[in-house]
Amino acid sequence: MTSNTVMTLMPVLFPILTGFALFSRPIFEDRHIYVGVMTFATSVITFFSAFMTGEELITLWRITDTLSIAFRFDYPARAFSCLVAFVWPLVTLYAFEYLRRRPPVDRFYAFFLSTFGILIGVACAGNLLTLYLFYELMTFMTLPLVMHSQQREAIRATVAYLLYSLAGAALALGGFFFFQVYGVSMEFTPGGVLDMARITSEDSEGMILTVTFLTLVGFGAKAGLFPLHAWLPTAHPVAPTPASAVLSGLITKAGVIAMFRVVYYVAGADFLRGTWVQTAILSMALLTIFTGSMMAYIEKHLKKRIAWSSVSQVSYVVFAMMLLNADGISGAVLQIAAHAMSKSCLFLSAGVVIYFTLEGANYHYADQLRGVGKELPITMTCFALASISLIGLPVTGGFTAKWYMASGALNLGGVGVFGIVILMISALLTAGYLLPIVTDAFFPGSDFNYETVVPLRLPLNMKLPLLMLSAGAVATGLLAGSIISFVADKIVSVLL
Amino acid sequence: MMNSFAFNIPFVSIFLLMLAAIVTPLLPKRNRLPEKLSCCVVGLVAILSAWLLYSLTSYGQSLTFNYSMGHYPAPWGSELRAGPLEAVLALFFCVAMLLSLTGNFSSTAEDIAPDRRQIFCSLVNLLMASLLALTYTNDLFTAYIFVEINTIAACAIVAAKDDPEATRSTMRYMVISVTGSALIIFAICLLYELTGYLSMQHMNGAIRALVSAKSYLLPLSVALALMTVGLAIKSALYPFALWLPDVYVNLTNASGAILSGLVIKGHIFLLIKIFYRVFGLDLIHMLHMDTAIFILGLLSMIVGSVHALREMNIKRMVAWSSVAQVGYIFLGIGLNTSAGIAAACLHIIVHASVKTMLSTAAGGLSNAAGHKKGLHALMGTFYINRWAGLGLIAGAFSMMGIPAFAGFASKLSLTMASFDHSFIVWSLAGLAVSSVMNALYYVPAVIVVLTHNKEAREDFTASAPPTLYKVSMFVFLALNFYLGLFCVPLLRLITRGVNAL
Amino acid sequence: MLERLFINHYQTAAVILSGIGLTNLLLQRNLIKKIIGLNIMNSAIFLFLAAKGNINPLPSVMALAGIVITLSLTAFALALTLKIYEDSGTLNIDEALLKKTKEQEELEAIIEQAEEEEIFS
Repeated sequence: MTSNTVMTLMPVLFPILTGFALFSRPIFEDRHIYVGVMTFATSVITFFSAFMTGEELITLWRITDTLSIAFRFDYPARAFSCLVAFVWPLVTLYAFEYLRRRPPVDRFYAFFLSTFGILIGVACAGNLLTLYLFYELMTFMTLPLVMHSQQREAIRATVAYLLYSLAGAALALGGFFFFQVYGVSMEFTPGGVLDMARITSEDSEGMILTVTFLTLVGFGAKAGLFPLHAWLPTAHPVAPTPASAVLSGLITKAGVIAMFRVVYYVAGADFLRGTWVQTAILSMALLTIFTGSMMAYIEKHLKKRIAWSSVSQVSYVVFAMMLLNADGISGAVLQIAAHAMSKSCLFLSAGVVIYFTLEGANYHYADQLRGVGKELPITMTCFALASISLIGLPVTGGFTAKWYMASGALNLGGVGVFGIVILMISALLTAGYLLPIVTDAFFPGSDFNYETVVPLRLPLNMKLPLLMLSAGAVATGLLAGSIISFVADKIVSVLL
Repeated sequence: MMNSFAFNIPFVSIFLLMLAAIVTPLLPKRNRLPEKLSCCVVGLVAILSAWLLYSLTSYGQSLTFNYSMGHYPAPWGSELRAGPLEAVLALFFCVAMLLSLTGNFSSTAEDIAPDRRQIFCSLVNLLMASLLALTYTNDLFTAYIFVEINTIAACAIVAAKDDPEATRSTMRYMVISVTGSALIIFAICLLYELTGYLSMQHMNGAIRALVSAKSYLLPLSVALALMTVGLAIKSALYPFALWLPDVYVNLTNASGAILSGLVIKGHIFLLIKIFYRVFGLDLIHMLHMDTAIFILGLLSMIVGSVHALREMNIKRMVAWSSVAQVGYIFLGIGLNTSAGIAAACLHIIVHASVKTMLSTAAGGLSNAAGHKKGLHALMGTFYINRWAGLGLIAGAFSMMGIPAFAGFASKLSLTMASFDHSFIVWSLAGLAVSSVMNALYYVPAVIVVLTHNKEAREDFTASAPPTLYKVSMFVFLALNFYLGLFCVPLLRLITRGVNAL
Repeated sequence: MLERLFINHYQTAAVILSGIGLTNLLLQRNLIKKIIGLNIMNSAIFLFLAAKGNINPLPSVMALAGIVITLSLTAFALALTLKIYEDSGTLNIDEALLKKTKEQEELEAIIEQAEEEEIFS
């Protein structure tokens, strides 16, 4: 056991074990202290591991000669782990306040903490088997979060979530078996693992392309990519707000990470470049971007609107990633960071509104938010900042992400150029479904009765996460240069 | 060279179990002596099987031997045959049997009256003896006798719980089971008429001669079909499996574990042996029996899961899931290659250990909920019997084929076996759909069990599980992870065994 | 084809008899008739074995074993029938099965409960 081994395994195993310890008989009477300390500790460990660990492949268990459970902290894993470790404690802090009115808390915290570890496991999986294992576990760990309220609607949404995720995972597993037969090894290798000596004829190449496509579609289920996207707008809103925030902000990204691994580390970018698979995934991403924004524009239910917006925004990442060029990767990295922060922030602010105005109900309609900005000024300011980042106004995170995406798309030509048009339309729609909420909240109009407004005191538990996340969403844009030189360039230099 | 006693192990294990079956009813009832004795005997036989396995495999080249019982040599006398495959199956059968007896030790006492318990033990021993005999047999006569013994013992085990429902289920089970054995014996008679032998190798020689002369192909295929259908009825393959859930729901927990985990498997292995050693894979392929079995297996996987999805009763759900899992085994057999059959054998072992664990866990949870079996009634039972809850979770993950759990090993080997086979798309699709459906009914059950329910907990009567239950469940879990993590040496062993078959 | 059936008339008769037995075993609703069907079926198999009439010991041994097994199965089935008759007062298996089981009662209770919850929520 070298220190490297410990540092690689700790961020994955520590939260899972401490999470499950919550199922045993109470150690601490006050679960908040235990959960808080453990979450914070996990974050510290994760940051520490992300900066200090070498890029060594650590095998936890060798099942057969070719199959093993292994982890590696390479650049994408480090970057994503840091993002998760930044967002997760903030959301947990928020959950302490929010869940006071929504028992049972023990189960929620147990699965919430475990999901932290599993998400890091997805990020730093060293081979396809490990990725698949953690991908499946992530589905099961997040199910109890979605069905937390145990009402009919929540259960129905959970079943849909389970069905789509598992159908996707089954497709991915099929792909895994093929890659095992047609690959030289199962370990993620930049440039792909396919054994070109075995893929000689047109037929076998076509088959591998089809398999890659199906695997991508399968992993795309988690990212809400068309055609396996329909679960997302029903499942994300019914979860308690902290869970919706991480589901939309981070767990959808796990699907993207899985796709990223398949594209760059299993099939190989060179193998896919210019094939029908690239075109198909790009077109599907564009279709999802457009329909997602369109549906969000039509949707009246606030949390559902934000969820539909996730459908569209996560597909930006898929689109950027499938451009298969340097600018595309930079755009994807920035979009992941920006969207994680702004979407979590949007959900959390929506949650604050729900928490204060409609007690006991887990939903709120977008047009009911008139004048809320007077009652909850900080919350709505954060909401506004996050919205601006999501729309992609200059200086914010969303803008730089889309800038790089557009330049990558121009380099590609063809579908890429068409993509830029869709990006423009979608940005307009995004402004159309988010800004009216903000303007209504702050400027309710002359017929609004200002006398009933009592400014509400926001607990620090809720204020801090909102401020940090909205600041993060803006900062992603301001610090885009350093993110690209520290993360994206490193990834690009390995991959392309 | 092998220790000379090791050659006697197949016979000695069967003999010991039958002796125990005779002795247990004579023992005094106090201190649950009969039950302890039968556990000990099964444990002893497990150790003997492990020894046999060790002796057979530790001398480099794997060894098989025939053991003739009585004084008559092969074509007439009955023979046992042991190779690595038989030994490893016998070992896992014994372990699973032992664990399902010890795991349900206390619930058996709750369900069955003391004087019936004695007979129950005797029958369990008899059942185990017949299972081992079906595993080791080298001629169809022995197979026939022990199929019948198995039928009677299994029927009696179903009837062990003395209530009207159990009696009615027994009657149904008996009718189906007797039908199955009638078909089997008809097939055996037909084969005897055609070949003049009952010993497997001799039959195989005669059948080869018949096939090369292209005569009697129709009677041969009729015999094969009768044999397959008969054994499929006994092993709960889909269209013949409608009896299983109705029978299963009224069983005491131990019987449930034994019936769905073990009794079924003995017959499947007999089928494999008959396919491999009597007919030969070429002839099976020629008569299109492989395709038929493959299709039935696929059907079983899907339909079993669909039925399980619609069940609200945990025991019925587990029973339908057995039907689906049997489908996996038949899928492997239907591939008709030695890799496919090795995968099927691995799944026999995996399912024997996982299903006994699941049944024990489901029994434990339903006891914790005050003997209710409806899924709603089980809410929060995890917090009363955590070991049972863990068993259910591990079993569910195993059935879904999550890596590191037992089920993944067999799914992986099944898929690997179906590469380079013309059925690959079908078998991949079947495995995928069936895994998804497994998850769809097991995950809600797990969530229900994990959900805190303070109101319902007050109704629950059961206290914490006894130590024996915890220990058995721990061993079950360990076995599950062993199969999931160390499946490679086991699969290699099985492949060697299949090739030596 | 017909000619062959005629030459092997013992076997043909055995097959027909066992078919009759099997049909009775599966389709008769009366338990006693079911058991008679079982006996017919097994006797047909002994006929099939005996028909060859050679001096080889194997078929005789098989028939002997079969007789013992049939006897014990019949005894067991009769004991079960007796028990079912005592419980439900009928030999007809359909009528016996009509009696509500505990399981069904439990299920009905659950459905009822679920319906009530629906009304209140």
